[in-house]
Parts: sequence; structure tokens; C-alpha cells
Amino acid sequence: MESDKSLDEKTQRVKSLLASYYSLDEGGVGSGGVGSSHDTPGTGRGVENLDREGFDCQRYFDRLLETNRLDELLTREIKLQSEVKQCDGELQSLVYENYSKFIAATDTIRSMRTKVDGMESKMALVKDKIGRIAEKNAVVDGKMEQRRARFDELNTVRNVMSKLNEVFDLPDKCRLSMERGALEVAVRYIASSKPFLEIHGSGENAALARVKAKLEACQLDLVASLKEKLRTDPDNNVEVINFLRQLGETVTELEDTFLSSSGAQLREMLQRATAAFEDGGCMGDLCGDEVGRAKVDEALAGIEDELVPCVLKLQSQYRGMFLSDENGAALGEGAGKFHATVESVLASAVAAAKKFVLTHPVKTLVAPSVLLEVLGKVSATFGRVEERFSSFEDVWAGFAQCMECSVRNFVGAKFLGLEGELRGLSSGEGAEARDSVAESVSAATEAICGCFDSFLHEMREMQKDGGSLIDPWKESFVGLVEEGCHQTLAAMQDALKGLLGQPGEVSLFYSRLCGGYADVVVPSVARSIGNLFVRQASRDGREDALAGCFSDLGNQHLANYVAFKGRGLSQLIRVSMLEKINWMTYEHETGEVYPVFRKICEDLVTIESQVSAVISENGRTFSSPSHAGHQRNASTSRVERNVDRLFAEKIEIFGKVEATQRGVLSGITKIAIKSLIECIRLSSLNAKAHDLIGGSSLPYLRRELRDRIVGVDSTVEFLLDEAGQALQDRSVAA
Amino acid sequence: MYGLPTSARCAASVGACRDASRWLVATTALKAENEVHVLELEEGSNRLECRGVFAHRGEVWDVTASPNDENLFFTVFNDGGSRDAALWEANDGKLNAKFETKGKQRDLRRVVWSPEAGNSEQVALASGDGVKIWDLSRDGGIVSCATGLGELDNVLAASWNPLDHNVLCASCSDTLRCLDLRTMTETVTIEGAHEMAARDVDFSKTNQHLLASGGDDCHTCVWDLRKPSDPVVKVSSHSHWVWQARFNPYHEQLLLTSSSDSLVQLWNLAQDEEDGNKTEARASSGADLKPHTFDEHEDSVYSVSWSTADPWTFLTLSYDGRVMCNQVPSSVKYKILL
Repeated sequence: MESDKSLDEKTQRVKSLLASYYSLDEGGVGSGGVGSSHDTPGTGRGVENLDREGFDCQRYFDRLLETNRLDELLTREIKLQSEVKQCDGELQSLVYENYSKFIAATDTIRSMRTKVDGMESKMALVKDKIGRIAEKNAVVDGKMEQRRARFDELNTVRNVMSKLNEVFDLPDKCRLSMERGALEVAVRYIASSKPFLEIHGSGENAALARVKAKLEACQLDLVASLKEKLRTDPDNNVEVINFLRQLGETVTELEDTFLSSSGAQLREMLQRATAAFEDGGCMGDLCGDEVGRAKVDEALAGIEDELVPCVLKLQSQYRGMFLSDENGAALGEGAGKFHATVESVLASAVAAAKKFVLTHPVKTLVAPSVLLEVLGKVSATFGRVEERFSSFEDVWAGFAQCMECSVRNFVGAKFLGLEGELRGLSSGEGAEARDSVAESVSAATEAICGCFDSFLHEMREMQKDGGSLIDPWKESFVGLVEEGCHQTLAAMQDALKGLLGQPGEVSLFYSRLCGGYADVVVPSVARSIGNLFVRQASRDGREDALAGCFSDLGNQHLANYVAFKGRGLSQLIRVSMLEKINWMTYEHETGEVYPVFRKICEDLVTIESQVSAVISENGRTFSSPSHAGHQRNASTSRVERNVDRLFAEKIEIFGKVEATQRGVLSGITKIAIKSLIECIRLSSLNAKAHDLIGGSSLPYLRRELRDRIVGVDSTVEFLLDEAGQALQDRSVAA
Repeated sequence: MYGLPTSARCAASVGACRDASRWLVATTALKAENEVHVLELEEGSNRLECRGVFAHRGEVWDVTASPNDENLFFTVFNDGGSRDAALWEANDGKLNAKFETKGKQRDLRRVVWSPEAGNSEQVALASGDGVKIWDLSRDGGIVSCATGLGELDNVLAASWNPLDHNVLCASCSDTLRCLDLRTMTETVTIEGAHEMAARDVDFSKTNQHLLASGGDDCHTCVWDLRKPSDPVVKVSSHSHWVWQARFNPYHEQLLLTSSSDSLVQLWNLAQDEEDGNKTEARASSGADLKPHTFDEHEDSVYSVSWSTADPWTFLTLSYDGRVMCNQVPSSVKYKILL
């Protein structure tokens, strides 16, 4: 046993030595160094280890000799020898082993070298071929890809085509269902196809675009027929509106459609109803016409019984459709545009009625009873309508006042008519037809009073029957009538004032007519108003002022008349005294009166007869003259006469014309005599002429005037004296 | 006030006398001695003083003083038979005739001096049937031009346009005829200017287009010769014939009228105007105009005459020989001045 162990130890150490020699790693040969250290743990390490570097053979030998006995030395020697032999053997096997490995490796390398030399070109070839294969492969692959895609595409197309088929048939189907009246189906077709066509119908696809166009046309027709249905069949509005919604009509558009269709419906209805208002245009056409009144009734009934229910129905429909969400909850009361439509319809109804009641043509004025009846009906009907639609404040604003206005306008028109009538009566037309101015004046005055009377009675009746139309402003009504009368009278006064300066005898008529207004008409009107309307006598003296104005105006007309007549006589005198004759060469020797003096008297008598018929006698005295006035000695010198005049009261030759016979006649006479004086002063007369004028003509004139025409009038006397004086002055012979 | 001994019809202001208001008034007495009185307004006492009296042959129907020589004046007078005209020089209390028509122009009515400054040798004499312009500087007076025979009829008055020396207006019965003196042809004719005879015409001294006329129809009219179809102003406040209508020589809006209703009326034609645009833009009717009336006379007032020395003074003469000198009322005056 011991010998085995030592043998192993010994081979291990040898291997290890060899390995270290060949620098092999431990795994291959084992570690000889370790074996040696293990070998002799007790035999003096360092010195005894044969394998260690720097081993000192001498020392080792010395040590052996010192420590060991001979036998042990001998055994050692034998052992060392065997060990050397074993090492050699092992060395040899190792060398061999390595050598054979080396040879094998060399052989391998050699064969490799030969093989590798040809491989490189082959490898390039292979590489090339592989590249070509890859190319071809790519080509094939690409071709195959297109095919595959085409195949997929075709597959899709097949699917689409089948769908398209369906689509292409749609328009016809749709038309068919429309024709059959199945609007609902048509709506579904269009609605379902719409998204698809929206996407594909536009662009370059002509066929689809055609289909889309067809369907759109269909849709248009459908929408149109639906809208038509909306108009013609308002009862199914909700359903139709829903269809329209499905067809994509926007809510606003639908709302507009609904509004316009319902607006048109309402307006048509309104127009039918208010035809009587619109055609006739005003109250005046009802003038005594039963048919006309029936028409108004019809119109009112149309508004109340047709229009109003229709408005209410449409209103509720509208609320249902547009003013509520899906659950039917109201979105806001009255917020819709329908409100505006209704308002406009009502406003035009009110406007038509207003226009109708407000216009009163003077020519065809209705009787007050008719006015009140019609106004009452209109007011009551619209009152009821207002209750239902009280929210439209703007529409109803002023409607009540409008009724009052209508009455006021009516009264105004009445006054206008009255004024026209009075103008006709006051114009003096036809005055010539009567025998005298007096007759025409009294006839005119009477007629004017009559007009006023019947007018006021009519107004009184109207006030009585007025009921709710007039009662609330009864007092103002009286004021209206009163003011109207005053204005009418004032207008007449203006009219008569405008006639001032009209030449001719008609001035006398105007003058007396003014008097008639002042004395009769104005008080009579005031009295009538007082009696009929039971007025307090709280007058502000307006009547008096008015009467005063008329009276003044009468005087102005009278002055106009006087001036006109005076001018006529002046002209006559001038022509015959100045232009026709040269008094210096007057030859006739007669005691007769110069014809112009007779003519003057005749004309004055004519005028007197005219005037006396119209103006009452006042103040003319035909008794023999008192010589108190300006009777003067004709022979006194000019200086004396001047002094005389200075101390005498100044004589107003052309004073204000009094509205008396005497005033008028003396006014005309004075102008005539004054002209005579001027004519004499401009002439020179010979003795015969002096005799003619002074001897016979002037005394004749004085006599005639005093006895027949003006009576005793100091101014006329004075002027006649002046004429005598002028004659004295201008007479050559005297 | 001043009194003439006999009846009188004519008065004229002495234009050559610049420093005092002086007038000539002449009497018209058929059977008494006639006189021409020179009256002057005494500044301090405001009284009319007689500066001279000249006996005149025949009754004087018109008098006109020379605009350049205060001693020279023309009269139209009736010295038995026809009416003649003569140019007189007042000298030493006597009148010397420097020129007389002596039948060369018959039935004279009015005499008008040429308004041309410095040309006192030309006068227009208006007779019943025409107008003749006399040149006094040559051969003791010759007719330089005249209207044709019978061309004018019954001439009652004449006025020579002081601003357009070629125009003279004559009133013939009821018609106003404006003559161009270069050709003696009618340039503007206003037919029927008055309903009856037009007694007087007067051109405005400050506006060459304005002409005033007064007539037997009691109306006074102001005409604008540029549009003669209608009067610019027509007023009638007199009750009898209007004998004279005279513009104030300095203020064209002042018009004086005299009438046989013994009244003198002063019209402020621009009295409604607030600003200075006076006569041009006034109301055409004149219906609203109210005159200022002077009623001191008691007989027909045949003549009114503005002073040439003072724009606010005028003289009026009535048939009874009463001469009044009046002032424009201060209210009217201030309305114009302020």
C-alpha cells in the first residue's frame, strides 16, 4: 500500500515537472510542483525539494550524507535512479504525444492551405449567385405584391359594387314611393343614403354624382311637396316637419318655412277678411248702403271667427314643434319668431281697420248713426281680439284712441262740409239772380243759420247716441263742436276778407253778409250750442270778438263799395268836365242843367235804392237845412276863409264810412263832389260856362242831394260851397 | 306854417342852395296878381321865413328851380289862353325872363331840368301832346329833340331819371311811358299803371330802376323798371286822387304822397325790414304798410317837396295857400338810421 501511494506521488511530480517544462496547463499534465511539496512535508522543505528553483544539489547531497545512514543512502540512490528513468520515459511519451499532435496539426494546416486557396474564388462566385438570387427574389416578390393588392382591391370593389347597385336603384325607388305617396319611405331612403352620398357623391365619380344629383332633385321635390303639404294640410304639420327634419332641413330653415307658410296662410285669411276694408277704403263708402255694412260685418266675423282660431292653432303647433325639446318641455314661452308673425298679421288687421275708420271723405260722409254703429262693432270685435292677444301691446297701442280719432275726424269732415256749404252761400254767386241785394243777403243769412242749426242738431244726436264711443270724452266732444263752429266762422271771415277789394256791387252784398254774420249767425250759433249742449255761459267773449270782427269786415266791404262807386262817379265827372269840353269856349246859352249833374243824381238815386234795401234808415233828415255848420259867404277872400277855417272845427271830408244809408250815400257823394271841385279847379271857365255850372247845375245838385238823396249833411254842403268857390275862382268873367 | 294870399298849386325846392332848406312856391290865381315866394326854413326857430317875393305874370301851374343857380327857375304859367313856360332870373326883387317858349310849344304842363351835373342848359318841357328837350345854350334856346306829333297823349307829369340821364318817364293818362332820350323811343311802357289817370311820376334819386306813381284811383305804386308787369309796392290809403308822390332824395325807402283828401302821407317802404336790405326785398303787396299821416291841411294838397339840404325835412302846399314844413318823425328816422 505504501508503495502505491509513493508511486502516484512520484508520477504526479514528474507530470508536473513536464508540464512546467512545456508550459502546459495543469489540466493536461498535472502540477508537479504541488506533488513535490506534498512529497516531503517532513524532510526539510526548501533544501529537500528537488523541484524548487535554486535547488542546491551539493547541499542536498551533503545533507543526505549527514542525516542518513548508508542503507538509506543506498535506497535513496536506487529510488532516485528509478525516478530518473521514469522521468525519461515519461518525457519521451510526452514528446511523442506532442510531436504527433504537431504533425497532425501540420498536416491539417497543410491540407487547409490547399483547400482554402481554391475556396476564395468559389466563395465570390457563391456570393455573386446569392446576390442574383436575392435580386430575382425581390422582383418576384414585387410582382406578387401588386397582384395581391389588385386582388384585395377587386375584392373590395366587388363588395362596393353590390352596395352601389343598391344605391343606383335608390332614386327610382324614391320617386316611386313619392309617386305612391309613401313620403315616409322616400324620406327614409334619402335620409339613409345621404351620409354615403355625401362622402362619395362629390368628386370625379360621375355616376355617383348623378345619383346624388338625382337624389338631391328628389329631395328637393320631396321637400317642396312636404312644404306644400305644410301649407295645404296644416293639420299634419308636426309629422311633416319631422320628415323635413330627417331630410336635413335645419331647424331655423324649417322654422322659417313654417313661419312663412303659416304667415302666408294667416295673411291670406286676413286679406279675405279685410277685403271689405281694403276695397272700400273708408267709411264714406257705407253711405246709406246696406251691402257695405254687411261687408263690414263679414270682415269683422272673418277676423274674429277664422283668423283668431287659426292663429291660436298655429301658435300651439309652433310651440309643439320649435319651442320644446324632445320631451315636450317648453323652451321659452313666446320666445319664437311666430310671435312676430302673429304680431305683424294683427298689426295689419288693426291698420286696415284703423285706415277704414279714420278716413271720412267729405263728399260721401255717412250718417252719424251709421258711423256709431260701425265704429261700435269694430271696437267691440277688436276689443275681444285684444283680450286674446293682449301681449302685443304695440299692436293695440292707440287703438282705443283711434276710435275717438275717427269720431273727431268725422266731426272735422262734417265741419269741412259745412264750411264748403257756407262758402258757397257766402260767395255771392246767384245773388244777382235775386231781385235785390237785400233779398240775397237775408236768404244767404237764413240758409247759413239753417246749415248751422241742422249741423248742431246732428252733432247733438250723435253725442246722445254715442254710447261708449263718445261718453268717456263727452265734454271734449262739446268743446270740439264748439271750437269747430268757431273755427268755421273764423274761416268764413277769412274767406270774406279775401274777397276785399273785389270791384263791383258785390261788395255791398259782402258787407251786408258780414253784418248778417255779426248780428244773426254768430249769436244764433252760440245760442244753439248753449241750448243743445246745455253749456254753462262761461264764454270768454269770443263770440263778441268774432261778431265785432265780422262787423268791422262789413264796414271795410262797405268802404270798398263806397270807394268803388265814388271812383265810378269821379271818372264820369272827369271825362265830362275835363276831357270832353273846353269851358273857355263854351257857347250854349241855356238855363238847363249840365247833363252830368243829372247823371250824378240818377246814379246816386240808383245807389240809394240799392243801399236802402239793405241798410236800415239811420239819421238822414230831409228837413230844411240849418245854416249853423260851415255856411260861408262865398265872396270872402281866401285869407279870410283861411282864418275862418282855422277857428272852425276841422271838417273830416273822408271819414270812416258808417254802415248807414246816410253814411254810404254821403261817402259816395263826397267823393263825387270832391272830384267835381278838382275838375273845376283844373279848368278856366267863361261866363256861359260859369252860368251853366254855377247858375243851374250846382243848385240843382244841391237841391237833389238835400231833398232826395243824402238829406242835410254839413260836409256835403261844405263841399258844394267849395265847388261854388272853385267856380268863382276859375271863372274868367265873374 | 306859411300862408299865401291866393290859391297855389306848385312848390319846388331850390337845389342849388346847399346850406339851407329853401323852396319856391308860386300862386295860381286866375283873377289876382300872382307871386313867387322864396321860403327858407329858419334853423333855430324851425319857422318858414319869406326870403323874397316876386310878382309873376299869369297863374303859375308849375315851378322848378335850377339845380345849379339859385337865382334861376322855370315856371309853367297861364297868361290868358295857352300855357307857356319861361326861365326866370330873380334879380333885385324882379324877375327877368331869360327864355320863353312864347307859343313854340303849346299847352305846357311840366318842366324838368336835366339832372346831369353842370348841365343846367337842358330842360324837358312836357305839354299835353308830347315832350320836347330844349337846349338853352344855343341861339337863345332850341329844341334838341322831341317826341313825334301825337305820339304821347294827355301828358300829366314827367320825371327825368337822375341816375340814368337818357331816360325820362312821362305819365300819359293811365299809362307810364319811359323814353330813351337818345332816340326818343319808348323803352318801357306800363299800360294801365293806374285805373284812372296817373297824376305824378317820380324817379328814385338813389336807385335808377325805381319809379313812383300816384293816380286818380287813390293808389300809389312803386315800379321796378326791370320787371314792370306788376308794381313792387301798391298802397292805397288816400280817399281821393293822389296828386304827387315823391321819393326822398337820400333814402329811397321814404316816399311822400299828397292827395286831394287834404292828407300828406309818408311811407317807409322798408319798415318791415329788420336789416339794411331795404327796398330790394320788401313785400310786393304793400298791404301791410302803414303810412305816417300829416293832416294839417284842410284843402287838397297839390304839392310836396323834399328839402335838398336836409334829408328829413319837406314842404307841403295845399290849394288854400297853406304851406307847411314838416320833419320825418323821429321814430321813422331812427328806424332808417339805426
